[in-house]
Amino acid sequence: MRLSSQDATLLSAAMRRYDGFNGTEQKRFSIQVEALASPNAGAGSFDCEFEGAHVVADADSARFTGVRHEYALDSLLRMLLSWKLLPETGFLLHAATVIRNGKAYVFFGRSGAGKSTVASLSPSGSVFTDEISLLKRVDGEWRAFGTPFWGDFRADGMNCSAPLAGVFRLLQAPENRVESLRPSELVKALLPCVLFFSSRVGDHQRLLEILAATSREVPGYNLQFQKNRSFWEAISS
Amino acid sequence: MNATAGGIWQKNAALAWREIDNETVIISPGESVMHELNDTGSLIWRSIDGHRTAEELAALLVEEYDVTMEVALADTLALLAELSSRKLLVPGEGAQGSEAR
Repeated sequence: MRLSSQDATLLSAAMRRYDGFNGTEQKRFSIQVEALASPNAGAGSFDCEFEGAHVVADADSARFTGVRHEYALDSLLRMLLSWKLLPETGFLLHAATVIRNGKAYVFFGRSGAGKSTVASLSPSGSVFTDEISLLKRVDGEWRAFGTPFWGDFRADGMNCSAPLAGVFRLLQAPENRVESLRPSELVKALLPCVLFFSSRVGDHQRLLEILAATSREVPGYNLQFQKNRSFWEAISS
Repeated sequence: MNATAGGIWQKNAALAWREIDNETVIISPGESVMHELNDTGSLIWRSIDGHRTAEELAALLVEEYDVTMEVALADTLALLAELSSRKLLVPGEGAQGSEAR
């Protein structure tokens, strides 16, 4: 990814937040960032708007307009990434990812479900992200990746990945309990927590294919949990 | 719109859908709304092709499940009306797929 902007302050903030996540590919995806709004920036393979800021993208490049601060830049990058992951059999999920014994445990749920709580109850250095997880199938294996998109706009994300142990829907309850989800149940549980912004039918069809594959290949559970570390015992048993 | 026994329907082309475990998940991208169908609903949904009448769809239920034609047709018409009201179905081309009441 290569960001271009005439706003030195914005570029500096972007470097701090995203540089650790830059790839090493020869052919980098180019993003032109402009402060001036341009609602009619033209049509691309992907286009989306967020509070006056727009992204228009094709396979090799994107143009962001109306970006006046790093929050807008972050939002457009999430939107763009959600689309860029489709051909790679990946998706972004509102989820905390914690590493335990070399495996990624992904805890998903909407705002207030307990993602940050799970992250805060996990050992330091074991949390890939407390807010947005990236799940992708790589060479036939599902892996969770850290992202720079942390809650409260902290730049704590870890640029690493681990094979998935399972995905857990967070449900706060007076006692800990783990229940398996059937593939159809898992898809319906995941869908509201997937970050997805495209309005194109083909993109949604592709997302459903990816989630169907996830539901067949990744164990999914409901995790009823108390707000303390004892939930790991339920997961381990 | 009310569905009729001889009516023909087709899926709204502006939808994404996928059958998983005999259940169907349908997304309306424009509204970001998810719809779900159980196994019998999924059988009807996958068989809606712009050619079959409601009566023919009901006959498929009779073949698959232990149910009379009368009950199957009533259930099918109710489902078609529901799917139509959610804009998941549109009348088949050139067919008298529905009656405006």
